[in-house]
Amino acid sequence: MGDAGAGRRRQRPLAEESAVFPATVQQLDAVHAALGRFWEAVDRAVPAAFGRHDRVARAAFLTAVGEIGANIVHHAYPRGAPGTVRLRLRLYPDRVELRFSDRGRPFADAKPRRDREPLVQDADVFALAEGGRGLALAGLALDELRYHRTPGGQNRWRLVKRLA
Amino acid sequence: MQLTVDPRPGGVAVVRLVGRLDLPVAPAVKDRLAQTVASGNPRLVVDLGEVSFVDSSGLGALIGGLKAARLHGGDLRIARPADQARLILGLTTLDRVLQVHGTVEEAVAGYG
Repeated sequence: MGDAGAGRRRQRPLAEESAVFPATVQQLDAVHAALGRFWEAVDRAVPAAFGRHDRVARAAFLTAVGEIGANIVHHAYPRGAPGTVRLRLRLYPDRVELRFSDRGRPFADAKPRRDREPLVQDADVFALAEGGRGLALAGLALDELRYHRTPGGQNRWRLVKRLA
Repeated sequence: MQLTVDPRPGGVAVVRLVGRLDLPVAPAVKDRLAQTVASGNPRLVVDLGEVSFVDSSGLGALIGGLKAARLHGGDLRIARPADQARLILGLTTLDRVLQVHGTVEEAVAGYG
């Protein structure tokens, strides 16, 4: 991905975890399982990696990972189209990072327009949207969220949460 | 995801969820909330004490339940949200719309 500087590439992860899973809604279990294994590896490498806000930061990262994972299986591969998603989780001295990659539809085509609306825009309960908040939510929960479509036809997502 | 409905007096129902409240289960949860309201229990208490993860689809199900409840003169209140549920309710500012309680009994008592 173009956003990863040369300095970052030289960094060695302190802990890592990866998974490849079929792009179906039911297989979102694999995302949660991989994140669970990753936190165990993080705890061995750097206990309470996020400092005194560790629980909140992990909850925020989980929130974003779940939203982007759901977005991929829902939009990149609609209606059960075959495909796989790869995820790689890494702990660096200054951050945790997750990269998703898949060969589904480009995200720009799949993005629902209501994702661009504010999260809760109205005190009127009946005006509240019942969907389409996912991407905005992931952005709020993270320090960095990037999407990139490669010339080779891959979707790549990079999710970053900085350590305290 | 497991869902159990515990009807209480006064049109109150405690809906206990266990597992993840996310994209795969959100439509079914929304339907159950609407059914609970339609069967005469518009005062919902959704117990999130055993829910490890809520995503935006799950929130959508809760909002759907809230709308159904309000249409029937009731409400949807949240009890015992764990760290991640509390966080997502705050990030979306839905905690301004949905009353959040520390215990199920407190939420039930709130209906008076």
